[in-house]
Amino acid sequence: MPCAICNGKAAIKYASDGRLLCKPCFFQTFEDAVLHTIEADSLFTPGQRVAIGVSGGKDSSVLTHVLFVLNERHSLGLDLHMVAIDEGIRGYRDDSLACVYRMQERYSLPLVVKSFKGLFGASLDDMDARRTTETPLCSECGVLRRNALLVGSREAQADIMALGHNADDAAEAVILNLMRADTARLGRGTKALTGGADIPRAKPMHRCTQRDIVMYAHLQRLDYFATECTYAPRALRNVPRAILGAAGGVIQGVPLKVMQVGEVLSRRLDTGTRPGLCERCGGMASGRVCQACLVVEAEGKRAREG
Amino acid sequence: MDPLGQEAMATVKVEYRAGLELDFGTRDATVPIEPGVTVLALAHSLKDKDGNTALIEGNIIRAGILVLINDCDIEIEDGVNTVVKAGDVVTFLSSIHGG
Repeated sequence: MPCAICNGKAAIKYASDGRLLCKPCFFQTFEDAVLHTIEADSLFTPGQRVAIGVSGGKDSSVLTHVLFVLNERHSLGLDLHMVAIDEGIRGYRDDSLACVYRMQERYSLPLVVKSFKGLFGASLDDMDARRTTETPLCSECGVLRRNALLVGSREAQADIMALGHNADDAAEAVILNLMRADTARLGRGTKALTGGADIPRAKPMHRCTQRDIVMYAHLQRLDYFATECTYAPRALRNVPRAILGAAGGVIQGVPLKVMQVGEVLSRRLDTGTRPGLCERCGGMASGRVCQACLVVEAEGKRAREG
Repeated sequence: MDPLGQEAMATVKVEYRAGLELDFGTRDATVPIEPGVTVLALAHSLKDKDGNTALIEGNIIRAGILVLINDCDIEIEDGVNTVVKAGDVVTFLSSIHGG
């Protein structure tokens, strides 16, 4: 089978459009797709300080590598920094943070680490231990992590954040919000740039499929930590993930198709209201107080009640 | 297995990556193969550290597991029906494990 670009020997099926590519053309195509998003959505401007949210997992490891490569190759003029969050999850985050420190050495980028314990007074494990129900803390963790990333990015004096969200994440969010009838958030995950009210959040890989990201990470022999969060088996996200997984074998490029539906629906349902700033922490909030501050307040109350 | 031990000499190197190394308790394994064995049949024969066929679900390769032979995507060849040859490096990658 010849490579669709150079006629060399094809080695990889590029999941985004189904083309068969050789290894060098696959790397180039993947990196160009990220560059295209950066340019088409005007994510960055030269001289900006970009805080890459890193977890040590495959998505943020690929994002860091690709941004590093593109910044050099195309003289983007970006001042790349890394921000990592330690939620305090034993047997998961401790190992992935070790990987973040190895990345810091490889790319020589400044790193800020913020912990739940330091910011909110309790690790995720502490909060879970106080739970009396089986309800997973994933939603709360997501809200707090988002807030911690904001605090870390402010500390790094970043102009913008770069996050490793991919097309599969966006498609999962569309289905999840559909199931919850959360019309306001339906298309939020599909956008490459959000949160203009505070430090904006850019997602340069939002159209990259998980399959291509895993292939890229493997073939580039990137160092990353691949394991399931210890709380993941209880996460609601497993429902859309299973739906997408089952459809993936039958429909070509299914995450991108679901994203497209999310984008169309969100435009139709757009009420024109934009989030404001939280009166307590200055983060993004749809009401007067943001979700993170509400979660911290609820957890504080639970801690006092023992 | 061939009683004379001749066919037993044929092996492939199996790589468990992207999270599967945790399920299988190893990153690399040398696995004997029968002549003409397919990727699907090989995947059926591989047991994780709990003795389960972790690469298989409903008689097919689990959704989200990617397979490469000598760094070449099996989707370029015959998918799970691609025949594995002695000396091949067969890589199983999980795209299910967290990012």
